[in-house]
Amino acid sequence: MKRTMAKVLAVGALCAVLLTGCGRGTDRRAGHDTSPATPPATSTTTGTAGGGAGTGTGGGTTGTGPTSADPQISSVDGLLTDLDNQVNSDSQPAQDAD
Amino acid sequence: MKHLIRLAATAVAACCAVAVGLALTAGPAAADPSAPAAAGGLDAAKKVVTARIDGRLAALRAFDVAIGAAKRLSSGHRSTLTGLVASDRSGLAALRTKVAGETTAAAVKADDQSMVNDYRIYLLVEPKVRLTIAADLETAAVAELRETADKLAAAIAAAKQNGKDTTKAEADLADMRSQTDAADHAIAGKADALLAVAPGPDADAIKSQVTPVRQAVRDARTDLHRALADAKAVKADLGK
Repeated sequence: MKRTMAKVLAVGALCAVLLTGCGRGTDRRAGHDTSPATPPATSTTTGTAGGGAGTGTGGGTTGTGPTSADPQISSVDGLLTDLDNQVNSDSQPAQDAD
Repeated sequence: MKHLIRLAATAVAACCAVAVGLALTAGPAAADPSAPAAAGGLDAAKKVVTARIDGRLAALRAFDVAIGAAKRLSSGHRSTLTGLVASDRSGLAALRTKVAGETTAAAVKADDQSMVNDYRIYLLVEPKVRLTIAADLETAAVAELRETADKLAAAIAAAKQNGKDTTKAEADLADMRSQTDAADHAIAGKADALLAVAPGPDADAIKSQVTPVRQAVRDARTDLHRALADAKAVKADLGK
């Protein structure tokens, strides 16, 4: 009986050692896989932030920007182009045009 | 290019007129225009008149396209012009059929005169279409420029409040308003006056009514270009 108990304990101890080893191995692999992924994530975040700051600075520094009159000015530009075409189509009739 | 086409059309029209005259005065028909013409001369005259009618029908089709494409044409003017073009197309198509059935030189000559005097496609209908479309574009531009001027005035006021020297911007804005008013004044009532002119045998009388409208439309165009330049100058003055 005592010998049987001793065998069970020995097998249990062996299993415990093996399981612990496997767990560490897994952790190590997980750690190894995770580590290289961190720098790109950091790099992407940094890049995005830089772009945003650039746009904001450009607008602020030059002081340019559309006025509320800009759409009307563009619209009049288009109207006058159409007008030029129409007036040019109405060529002066020749003296003998009937 | 359009000038070349018009020049060619005018030359062809002149040649056709001469040809009709020659065809109608040749042979026995010259002595008695109401008598049946010699078959060859009558057919030639009918061909010439038919070709002249076809040229007018083609012009009317082009006017229809121009009216359809004119986005700023007022509904009243669109309706008037569409009706005029449709009526003239119908009348000239009927005249074309009538010419084909004529048996005397005098009848063909009368048809030729009717084609010119009763319609005045080149002398009157074309300017009616082109200048009315142009005048309505100018009316639309005047409205847009007045809105623009109000917005620029607000921008000037804001800049002034921030301590900016707005002297030049204010002067440019004043000129912009003045040019816009001049354009508005130039074309007021002109399109309606032109549309009321009726065709007839007196070409000079028609020209004397069309010419001032044409000039007004051209003057207004110049004023509007100046007003737009002023608007852009105000924007530049404000550093916008």
